[in-house]
Amino acid sequence: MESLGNALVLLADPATLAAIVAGIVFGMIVGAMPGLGSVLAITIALPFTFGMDKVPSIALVLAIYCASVYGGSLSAILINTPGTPQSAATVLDGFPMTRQGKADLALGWATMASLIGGLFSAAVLIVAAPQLARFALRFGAIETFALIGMALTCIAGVSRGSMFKGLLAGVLGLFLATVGTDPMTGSVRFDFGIFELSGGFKLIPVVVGLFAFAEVFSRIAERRTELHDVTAAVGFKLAPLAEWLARWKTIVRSAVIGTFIGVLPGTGAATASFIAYSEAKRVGRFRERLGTGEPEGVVASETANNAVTGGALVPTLALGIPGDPVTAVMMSALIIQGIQPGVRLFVDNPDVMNAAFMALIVCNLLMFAVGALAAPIITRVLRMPESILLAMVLVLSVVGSYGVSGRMFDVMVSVVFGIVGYLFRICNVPTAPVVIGMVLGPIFEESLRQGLILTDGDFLAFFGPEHPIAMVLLVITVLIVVIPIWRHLRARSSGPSAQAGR
Amino acid sequence: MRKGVRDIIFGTCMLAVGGLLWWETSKPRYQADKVQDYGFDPAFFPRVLLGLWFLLTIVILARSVVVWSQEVEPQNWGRLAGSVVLSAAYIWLMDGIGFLFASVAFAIAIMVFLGLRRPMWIGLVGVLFPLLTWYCFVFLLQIPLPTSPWFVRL
Repeated sequence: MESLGNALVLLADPATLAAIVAGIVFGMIVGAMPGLGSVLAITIALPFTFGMDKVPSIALVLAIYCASVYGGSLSAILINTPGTPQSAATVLDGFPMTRQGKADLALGWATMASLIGGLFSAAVLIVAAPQLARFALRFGAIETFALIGMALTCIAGVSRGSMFKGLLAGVLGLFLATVGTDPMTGSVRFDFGIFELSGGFKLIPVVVGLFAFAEVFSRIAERRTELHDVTAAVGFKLAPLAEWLARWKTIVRSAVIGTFIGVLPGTGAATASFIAYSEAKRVGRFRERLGTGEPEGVVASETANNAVTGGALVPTLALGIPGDPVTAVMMSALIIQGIQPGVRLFVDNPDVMNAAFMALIVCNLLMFAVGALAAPIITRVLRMPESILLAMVLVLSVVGSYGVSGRMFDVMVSVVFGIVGYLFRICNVPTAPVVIGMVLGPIFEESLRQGLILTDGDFLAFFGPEHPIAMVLLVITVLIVVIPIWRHLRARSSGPSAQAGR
Repeated sequence: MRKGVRDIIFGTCMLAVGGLLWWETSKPRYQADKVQDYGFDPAFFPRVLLGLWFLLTIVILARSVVVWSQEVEPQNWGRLAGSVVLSAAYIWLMDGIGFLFASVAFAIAIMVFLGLRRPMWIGLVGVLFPLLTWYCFVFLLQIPLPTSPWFVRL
């Protein structure tokens, strides 16, 4: 109780509330801009957290996360272009509602559904994360190694592009983490005579490069057209309670789907919203009308994608293993504040974590209020010319990479990784595994080397009967790699015979 | 460009970089010190990763024949090169004349380069946005940004 009281005091700080409101407005704007998304929103806001206290900075990042996922629905509904991939399924019924002159109602459905999804997943996070952390306290070096191996394989396996390219990107991320001082012997590795590299690559400049600079470079090189205009003024209207009660099953189902998928590494909100949408289409009460401007489609998609937010934070906070690039960047924001996510997080920082949980609830409630009051105004930002937007992103990106440690070297690292990230996009190599590999690299190496010392250098002993958890995780890892290859080979071998049969 | 050619170029570059890194691990500074490293020298983990690196790259090279005939989306390399050069010039300028002046020059230059032709917008955003960012970081958040040789905080 004392801890809860302390958390309430921390949350009631005006700086925290101001950070939440600012984060919601900023997150909604960036989320609504087609193509920018949650990672970029949090990345360019990171430098603002450098000078803030722990709770306001966590609250800011959480607010941006929730609001950017919700913000994607605004452009999905109004201009038929999802601001973020998470809202792609919202387009299917949201934009038809706009064409029917019900844009205000569609915004109301999306905002309320986002609130419900966000609150549901926040409740799951509050209950599940400390329990999972308590369970994970039993993990030794070998179990940690197996868990990280499984998470990385899973993330690489479901990433955009081929699985092998995803795995290679993960290996590259792990390798980047080896640059600098070896944690066990103190030797300096891969510095190539450059003094700044003796401390290793800082995470933020690499993230800024791979996500912010690479996004700007690819937008410039792809010759995209200017952003769409929102021509008509829109309002905000909530549907009557009876309409909501008629769709309660879809709401609950989508919230559960979103939260569960959020917990799984590598899947993310886009997958969750499409699965929830297809479930609504399969068993929903108004399934025949889906795709024609039926609110049930908007509700399914928006409840699920916002429910991912709390779910994705469960492994990030409890195990220190981010499941996607958004939570990886959020994790780096915590590390900057001196908070190390992982099994000891709730033991070492109970006040801060309780305040963060409460902040997540407040973020969702305020997101509803800001959405209801300001969504129609915020959507006008969609008229901003892309050249202005890109100039702003570049200036903030430079500040972000410089602000980490005040070195021009980090800014150069950002630009170099921006070019690398752009080339990876051209080659269809996902960049998310690079970042996650870099975050998990030090603990992955440490657990492998400690495990080998414990087993006298016998790697196979990692997966023996003395380590049942590691054995189960290894089996899952092998299945993640083998099943897609087997399916691919089976499809190829059955392809010609099927064609011959036809 | 065809996707198969793209993957071969990518794979070859990755093999070359991996080869250079492997060569680096063979230097004396990475050799084992049984007392200090418990039998696992500093190059042990990087070499494990490089082994996976080579294996995955070879698979990607072998798979390039599958996607051989597909075309990569065309890119505007001129615009890309221009934006990279402007970004590099921005960093160089920032080191010499400080964040604020360099950012004003860069913001205006990149907006014009990207095709914005509204002088009022260029002037307003090009001056006000860097000014606001600089004020916010230096005075409100107390995070120092590169300064010019002419003023103390500018």
